[in-house]
Amino acid sequence: MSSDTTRKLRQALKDGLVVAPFIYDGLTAKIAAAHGFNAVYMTGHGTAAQAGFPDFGLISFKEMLTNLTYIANAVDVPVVADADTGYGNAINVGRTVRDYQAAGAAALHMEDQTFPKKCGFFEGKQVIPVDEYLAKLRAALDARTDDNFVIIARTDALAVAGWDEVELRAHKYREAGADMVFVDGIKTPDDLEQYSRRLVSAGIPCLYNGSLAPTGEIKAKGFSLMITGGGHGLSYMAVKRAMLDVVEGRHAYGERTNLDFNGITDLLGLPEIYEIERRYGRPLTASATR
Amino acid sequence: MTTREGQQLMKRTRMLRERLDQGTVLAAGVYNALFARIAEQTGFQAVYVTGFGTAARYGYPDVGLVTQTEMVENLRYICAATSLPVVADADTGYGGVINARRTVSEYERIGVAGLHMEDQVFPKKCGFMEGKQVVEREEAVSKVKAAVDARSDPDFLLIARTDALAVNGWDDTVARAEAYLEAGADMVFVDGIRTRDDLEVYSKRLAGRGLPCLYNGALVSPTDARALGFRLQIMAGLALGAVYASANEAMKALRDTGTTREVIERYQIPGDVGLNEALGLSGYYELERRYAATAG
Repeated sequence: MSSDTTRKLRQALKDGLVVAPFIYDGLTAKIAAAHGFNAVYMTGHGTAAQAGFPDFGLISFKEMLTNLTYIANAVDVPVVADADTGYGNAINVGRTVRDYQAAGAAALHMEDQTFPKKCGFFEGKQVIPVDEYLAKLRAALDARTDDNFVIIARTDALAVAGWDEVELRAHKYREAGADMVFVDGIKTPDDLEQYSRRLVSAGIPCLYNGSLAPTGEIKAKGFSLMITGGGHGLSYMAVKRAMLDVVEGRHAYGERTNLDFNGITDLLGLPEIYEIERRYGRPLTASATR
Repeated sequence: MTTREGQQLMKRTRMLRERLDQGTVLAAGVYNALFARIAEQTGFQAVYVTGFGTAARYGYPDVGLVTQTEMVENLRYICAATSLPVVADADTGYGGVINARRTVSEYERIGVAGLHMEDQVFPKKCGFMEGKQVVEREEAVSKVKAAVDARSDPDFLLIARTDALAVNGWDDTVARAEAYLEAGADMVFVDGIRTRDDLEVYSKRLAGRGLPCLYNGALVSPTDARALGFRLQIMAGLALGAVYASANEAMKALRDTGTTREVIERYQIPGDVGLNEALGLSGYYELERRYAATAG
């Protein structure tokens, strides 16, 4: 079994760097796809944020899966999905891979943190022993029924144990069969340089999460996949600004609203809905009552 | 009742009633828990959960595709994330009178402080879209009565919305609004107010006569809405508009320049606590310390 989006993602990865913007719901996924990106990235940090929680391992597998389902339904492009630690041991990981695949994801990343996890950029992360992670990774690889489904092994060891440990883990994860490796918590240009020199140059397909360099430079360094963009962090700032403008009296009241109604309804597929109504006979402007 | 942070609260239904007694309440339109927290942190008195925005976050236009279950799920997160009173869109009540009753009790149980239910046929459309249809007035009145009977907290705010303006004009709209109030609705809501002129008529024929009315829009400020006699103003598109505009800018910049840095810098708020703190991150670290196993 192979799906259209997993094939598309494999092909795009062959063609060069895939840029998957951070998205956290159906709307932001549609906005990214409408700008021509050939993949989107469902962030766990953003999925937690929209539910009102920081990325502290509070969001369950089921909640991630639900969000993924909406997102995969909303866009035709491949969805790369955050799968945190796989939500438990090797048994849980099998379910996670099977259900993500069935929900329409084209790829997922799963990390070597202890459960419950923390955002890759937070303090206080802990990692599990390499062998324990390798068992989970093997369970993940065995669980996929679509060979084109991309399994990305993420390591959080950088903040905990430094580059030598990261390098060791990355090689082991790749040798065990991971399609790609993802070193998270790249905070400085020096980290990015080390990442590129130690792993990308060693021929390991790598994912870069961040915005330390523009997409062109990340491509030139040889990374396979880049997850980046404003995502929910930008939405937070934009919404807060809009709300402060109202509360502090700067909002411009009048006929022009802050919502581009036609733009958003077109994006969400309203013209197609009207077309369906015409096709199946519901009167369009029947006045009044039935 | 208590928030996630453990604060003791007045019941939010009572809080909303008291705020409405004190003056016109402005509710910030949100469609997820993060935006509800932002509304509280910026000083709004209430949040309004938009069905249009909830549909959008699930990837659909607001044409009756999103179910009661999905609204309730979204509302549960929102009610847990804020201590503000939550006024929620309940579309048509998601079916007939029996469905409307269930909608009221589900919303009430999860901590919503008030809802609006409209007189469109099911499945509905956004109040500003073409092709709306309304049910007969008597049928809508029955639904209002069913909703009133279903609430267990008398402070729960029941707002009867009519979509008749675009379909049948002002005379029918006024007749419906009066009938819904008579049937026990606490407030009425004429949707599809597009112009200042519409708003003046809304005021003259309903709000200005002392009938409790909701205004959805931002043609005028809350101060002016109050002068026109409105009790509750909702800016349904407030968060959605900000997200849609900023995400489009970011995706355009990423596509054209390879980075979103400039867009992000432009939206930065000097001195802001930041997203993680807005979500209460340090409180969770504090909990981690409090319950850390101690050696020996």
